[in-house]
Amino acid sequence: MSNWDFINNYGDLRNWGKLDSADIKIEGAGTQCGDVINLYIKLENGIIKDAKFDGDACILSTISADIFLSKIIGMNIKDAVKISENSYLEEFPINVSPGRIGCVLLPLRTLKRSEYGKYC
Amino acid sequence: MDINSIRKDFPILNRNFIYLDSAATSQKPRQVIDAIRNYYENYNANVHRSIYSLASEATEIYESSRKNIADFIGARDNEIIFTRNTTEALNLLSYSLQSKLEKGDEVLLSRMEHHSNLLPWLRLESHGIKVKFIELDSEGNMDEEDFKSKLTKNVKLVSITHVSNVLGTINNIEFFGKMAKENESLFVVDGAQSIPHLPFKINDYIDFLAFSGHKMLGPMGIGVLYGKYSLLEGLPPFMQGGEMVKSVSLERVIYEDPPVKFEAGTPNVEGAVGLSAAVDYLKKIGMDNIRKHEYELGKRALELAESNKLIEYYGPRDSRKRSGLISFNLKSKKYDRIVKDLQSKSIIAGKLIHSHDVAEFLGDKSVFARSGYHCAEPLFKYLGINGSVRFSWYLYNTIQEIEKAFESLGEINV
Repeated sequence: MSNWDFINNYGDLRNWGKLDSADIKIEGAGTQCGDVINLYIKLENGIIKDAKFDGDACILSTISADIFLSKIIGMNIKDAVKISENSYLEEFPINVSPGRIGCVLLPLRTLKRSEYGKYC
Repeated sequence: MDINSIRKDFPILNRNFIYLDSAATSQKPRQVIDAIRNYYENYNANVHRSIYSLASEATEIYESSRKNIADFIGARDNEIIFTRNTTEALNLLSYSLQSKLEKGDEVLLSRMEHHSNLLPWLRLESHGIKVKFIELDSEGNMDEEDFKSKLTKNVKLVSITHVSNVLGTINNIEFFGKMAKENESLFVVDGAQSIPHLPFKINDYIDFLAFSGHKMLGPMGIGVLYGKYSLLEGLPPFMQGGEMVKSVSLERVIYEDPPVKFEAGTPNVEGAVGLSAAVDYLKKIGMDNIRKHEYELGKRALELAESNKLIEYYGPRDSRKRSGLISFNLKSKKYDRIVKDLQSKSIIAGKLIHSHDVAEFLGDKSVFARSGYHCAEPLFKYLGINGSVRFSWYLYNTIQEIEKAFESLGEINV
């Protein structure tokens, strides 16, 4: 499957939207591209109960944010920020070119920049 | 112009792709590659200094390359300074001219400049020089009235691009140059996107001109700063070191005459030789023929862009005012629906598909196009868009390639 087939066939975004009662609200911006993604994360005893995102970014960042939030819902926030960039890229469904690694990593890097980033 | 025989001269085109990124760098014909090999296999020695015959031959080849490139733009050979590229040429000028500018002087640029013709001038702001910008009209032409109103007596230098690498606009440099001269301002032309594509001869109103070899079939790492000899004589060197001096003592340095004064260190001789071979190639095909061919491709590209309701393109609507490129964005089908379903006012990927996504898709189809800001980020902020896709073509591209590229865009289904 080519990268574009994957993007073209990606279904509706499961985690798109806002969470007004979020405990973590953080904006992440891509390097050199003007893209912005906002993460909204609701915690309960340190566990991620719900997570949403919105913003204005490329499709790869957008799909990555959707996949990333699905992955971390149910995890302890301290474990979620510990996810390494390499392991996330390895798990990501497609191989991305060097020029677009930043797009895929934008949601993970954004979470690492939150107050919980100190647990990395 | 026999496009099939031209394509046979470019070995890389044997690979199966459609190359539409010649505004970033052009492909190289066998004649250029052979000229560089021939130089290294038969003539390599350091230039300008040694006495033995091989060094004289190398110097002769280097200097005759300079002469050939000078002829190509209608200049004299002692007005051609070799640099690495357009960026270095404009930096050289900015650093050398700095001593001639005073606090309160102004530099006038336009809103469509590449970072190369922007940052070297913006750095002068820390020396008290004010930088002003010519506004653009809705089609991406420089606003001539705005230019006139900003061309005050304090403007000591006007530096504008001949052809925009984003909008494709061919600017009327004769108008801007003559007005600048009347105002006694220096007039600098960024020719990176015009010298490779348009018939061109130096005119009296042009004081300095910068261009790159690699965008005009030559190798990377060689560029040119043309400067009027009388002006070059009065400027201090940009860099100091080997080659550029007549005599050095610890008390006194006597610099070489231009252009060598501005070429410190061992120069890029293979680059000069390669660029000279590129100029021979362009002359053989004829710049008028190249312009005509690119214009035909541009007309077709514009027709295809206008017939696709999902394409939003930038720059003049009239092909005659455009050089060989088109920048555009593609409107999405699917994301509009998602946004609507969510009844959200915020938009993902906007109504436009991100240019990197479009370029990624095209890359899958072996159509190689540039995306992003094209090193002109302030222009995109000015236009209020987040980058664009750019198709740019050259003498070796075909109408069929342009059609295939637009056809591929139609297959994007997000």
